Amino acid sequence: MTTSTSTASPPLENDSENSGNSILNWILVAFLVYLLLVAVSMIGSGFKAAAGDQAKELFAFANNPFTGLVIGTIATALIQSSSTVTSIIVGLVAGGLPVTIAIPMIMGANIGTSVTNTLVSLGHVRDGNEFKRAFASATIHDFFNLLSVVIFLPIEIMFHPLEKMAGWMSSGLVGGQSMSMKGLNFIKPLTKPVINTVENSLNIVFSEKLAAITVIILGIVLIFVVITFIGKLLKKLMVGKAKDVLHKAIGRGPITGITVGAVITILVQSSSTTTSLIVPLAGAGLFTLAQVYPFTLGANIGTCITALLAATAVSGEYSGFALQIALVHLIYNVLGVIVIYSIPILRSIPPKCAELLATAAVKNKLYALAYISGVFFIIPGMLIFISNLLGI
Amino acid sequence: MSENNSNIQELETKIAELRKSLNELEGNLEKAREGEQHEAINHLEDYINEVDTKFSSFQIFWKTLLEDLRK
Repeated sequence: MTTSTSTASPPLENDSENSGNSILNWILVAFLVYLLLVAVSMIGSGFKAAAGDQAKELFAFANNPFTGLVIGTIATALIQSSSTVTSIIVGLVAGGLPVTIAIPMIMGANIGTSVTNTLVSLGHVRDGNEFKRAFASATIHDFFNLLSVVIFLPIEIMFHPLEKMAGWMSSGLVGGQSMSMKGLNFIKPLTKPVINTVENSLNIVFSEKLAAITVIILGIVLIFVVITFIGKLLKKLMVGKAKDVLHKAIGRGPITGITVGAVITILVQSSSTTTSLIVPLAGAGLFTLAQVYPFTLGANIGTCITALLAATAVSGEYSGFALQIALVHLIYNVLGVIVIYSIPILRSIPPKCAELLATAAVKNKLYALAYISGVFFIIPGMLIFISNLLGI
Repeated sequence: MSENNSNIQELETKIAELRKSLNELEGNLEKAREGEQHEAINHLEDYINEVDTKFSSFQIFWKTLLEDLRK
């Protein structure tokens, strides 16, 4: 009797300890989300103070959409987090960066983020077959995002459908750009005191312009740190839920695959986590390329939640534009999936390219290296050069 | 003629039986694959941090590439 009591009590203690830890972790997540909102507001506020009415002129170099695309691609490839880059873009739009300039940057962030799972797949290089499967399952995401840019960027440059659709939606949500969100925005009273304190403290030490630039830098660093920690915490907290969702998806079709990819990305707040976790499973031959494909597309959609969350932090004259750019991100990714995945000839391009490249990379590893440095760094640079040469 | 007919019927029956067996085998294979997938998902903790291996993965790749080039 005594034995049974003593053996039963440690698990109970562990349970209560775990639930206590879990509650603490959730409180920490809530605090980090608050910090994210503060950071986005800091960028907006700092950018507005630093640039004033010159925001458009300040980003005149990015008037060329290819430059914007390259900035988004390289920044995300270096920071290794599209959520961080899209949140920064939302913050910049909140400070006056024109949406037209920000759209190619958002598209570039989509390309840049796909380098992460490609790097992860390189770890399987020692086994030829495993490497082939892992590399193909990673690069299918890259090829999809590249194809999406090839289709949508020229259309956007010519007719601005994403900007118009998102503008129309954000007008519907916040009642038009001319109308202030003050009445609806309950975030501002929560974030403004912190931002004012930071700005006032910096104004004592630095000149007004330097203080504003420091606020922007602090905001960028804070976003990066917060998103990193949120990701780490959510991975711990949500792994059980992610398992449940994945179990339910087994044996079902691509629509479920897309949904599950989106849901898991929302749960862990990182598309790279979602697209990377599937790489070793594909490498081991447990999941086929056809099963991985819709799952990674879902990750593209799920990752949009961070920019939307960031947009809720914005108030003032540019709040409608901040929401508009967050919606551009969402519409772009949803349309990409609808257009490319529903048209068989387009749908077949990413898996074919991924398989071809993986076969070549197994034969000669230099192909893999050339691909990564080419797609994420060299070709973007060439794009700027050629477009400047053509005067686009 | 009737012998030929019975031969055809016999072959058709055999094909139908084989097809049924093949379908059953394919169903079993699918179930076995799904079982492996469920088993892997049960160990999701091992894969969810895979994203943090990007630098070590690149190091492994770089080392292997250099070894190959030296050969």
